[in-house]
Amino acid sequence: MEAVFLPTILTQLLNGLVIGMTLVLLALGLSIIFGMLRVINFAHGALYTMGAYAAVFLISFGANFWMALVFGALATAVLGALIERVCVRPLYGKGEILPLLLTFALSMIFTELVLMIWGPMGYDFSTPEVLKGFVNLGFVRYPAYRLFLIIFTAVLCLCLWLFLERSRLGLLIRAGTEDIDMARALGVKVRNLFTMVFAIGAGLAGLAGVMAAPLTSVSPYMGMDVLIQAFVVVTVGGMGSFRGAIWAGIIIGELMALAVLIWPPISHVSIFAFMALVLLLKPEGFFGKQ
Amino acid sequence: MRRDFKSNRYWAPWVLTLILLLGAGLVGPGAQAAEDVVIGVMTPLTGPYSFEASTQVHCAQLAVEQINAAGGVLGGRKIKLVVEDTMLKPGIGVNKARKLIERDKVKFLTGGVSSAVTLAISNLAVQYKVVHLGIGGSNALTNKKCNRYHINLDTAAYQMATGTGVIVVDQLKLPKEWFCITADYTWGHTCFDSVKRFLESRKGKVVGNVFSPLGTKDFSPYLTKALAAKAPVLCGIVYGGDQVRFLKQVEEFGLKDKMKIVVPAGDVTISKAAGPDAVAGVYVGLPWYWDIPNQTTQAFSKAYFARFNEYPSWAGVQVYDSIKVLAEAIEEVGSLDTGKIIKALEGKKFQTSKGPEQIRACDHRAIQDYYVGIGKSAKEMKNSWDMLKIVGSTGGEQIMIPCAQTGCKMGAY
Repeated sequence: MEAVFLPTILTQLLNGLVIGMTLVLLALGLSIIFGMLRVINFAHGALYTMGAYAAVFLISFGANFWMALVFGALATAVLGALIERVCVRPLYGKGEILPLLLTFALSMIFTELVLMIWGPMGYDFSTPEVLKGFVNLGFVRYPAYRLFLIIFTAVLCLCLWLFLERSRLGLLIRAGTEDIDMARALGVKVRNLFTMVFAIGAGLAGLAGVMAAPLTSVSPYMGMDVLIQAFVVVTVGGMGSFRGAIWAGIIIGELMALAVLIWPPISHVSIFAFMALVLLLKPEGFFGKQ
Repeated sequence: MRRDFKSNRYWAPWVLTLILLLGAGLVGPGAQAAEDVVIGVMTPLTGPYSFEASTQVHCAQLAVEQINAAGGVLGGRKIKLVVEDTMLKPGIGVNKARKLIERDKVKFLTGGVSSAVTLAISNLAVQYKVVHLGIGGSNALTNKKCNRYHINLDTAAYQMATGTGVIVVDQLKLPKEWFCITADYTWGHTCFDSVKRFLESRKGKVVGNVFSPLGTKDFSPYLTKALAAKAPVLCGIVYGGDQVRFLKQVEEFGLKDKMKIVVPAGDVTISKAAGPDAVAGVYVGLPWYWDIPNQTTQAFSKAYFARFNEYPSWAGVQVYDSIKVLAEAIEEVGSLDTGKIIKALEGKKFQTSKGPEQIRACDHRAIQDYYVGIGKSAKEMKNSWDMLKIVGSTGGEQIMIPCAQTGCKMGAY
């Protein structure tokens, strides 16, 4: 094993943040959907993929990256709302297995749809012009787009937090997450809230898909691996916890990046080992509730 | 009594029956006509290599159409294809191959992209004495794990590495100190071993190597290591989606300013998915490319494009060549005796879509040419498929592992 220098470690920490922030977006979506609706959304990976392909679709009409980013997020949010109203709503009160199976089936349907419309070949997704190039950080010349991803996601998380903490709608969502029956008893229109939460969660997944597309290129199965990693994040951070999703996302991302410096084959496995450890010591996750 | 249509008790028996019928295969393709010669195409239509798989199906169709139009085999018998999706999983591939062999009595199999799946199917083929013209680049397929009934028109990792090396080092004079990023499975490992062997034979060396898990999404940690090593050449022994992301991220990190990038096994489909910015200036080795400057290939590419409005992956073309050489062998033997057909194929010289090739008797690999292309920039591309400019070629037995070193011991016919 060759000597590991400080610049390499620092660069790796940045790489880990890039991986981590994508996972944070996915984990946040999963968390709020589960927190409020008690639905384990297996379609989340497919929504990530759909967001990326929605952006591909818009770009094929000549749109630029930014328009495609907004479109991807919104289109996936709308899709999320539709899924909630049409598929998930009839299953409320019937336990947690049925929605799980349903979202699993949806993920396969969406993947096949993408295959049918866009074919099996991946698509090149260009980095936006203004973000091509590097920023000289001293220890490394780091790609500008990756820095943008980190900063943009951080700002987004802040906005989301402000929304949940400071707005009336955010208050209703938090109330619904804590105790749905009480919220309903207090006259909150819980049904619409459910749809909105699913839409927000889905929109976050779609946004993550578009953000990741310039880095990994789009392909029909792009959501599958990240979904598993997102579930690890949510388990470690605590299902339903906003803070948990952020901390765990960053930790898991860093773990994957730094593990490569030690011995690459363990980078994917290390996160599962870590999850197992957390489950043994604190089964509800860092910030989860019992 | 009013039937309760909403009740499961009404529907369940019908659903169960339907499932049983489907499972028994009675609601599906029936037994083949007695006269047809059936070839099974085992290919990963689902998963990351699905484009290569779909070109394998198209190429197989083209080959069969041409053979049948010219009168078929054995006095007018038509060739019929059965396509099975291996889903890139050895277990599934073997199960489907077994179904074809045991239930449908299929005697000829072809297809494949992943060496792991092809190896699993080849083990089945030798048990049943079924001719398997499998496609897969790992050296292991034709070294110790070779078998009498497995013929492989794909270039072995040894050929890919040596072919690329001969062109970029001997012909184009690139530096001989390479840092490698290698896919962590059989093909990657064997290709890396071959690259190392080649460099050392030219008094060069591998400066460092990292193994990346198959399906790696983010190469940035590995690229950071490559940068730190300060080697003049970066070698990406990755394929498919991994290569797409590798190339994109190499471009992202501006590595092309500092190092030459060599990819010993590429394909036009991968280059298209990565995009011209990523592929420009990269040295891509490949066994076949639609724009190879020879008449045979140009004619084939034109005919294929006219039929399917796309160009095939080399994996597809190897299936085309496999089916054509199989038909020739069947005609020579005059029957469907698989043992005799294998014997006819060993040492056989035949024409392919890129020129003459010969199947070596010692390990059943094809003696063939290998090429390197440089990625074109977006400005240089004449159309969306014009990704590479072929800058060198080599071939023959000199780029293959010597027969004595393969460790291949074949069984009986």
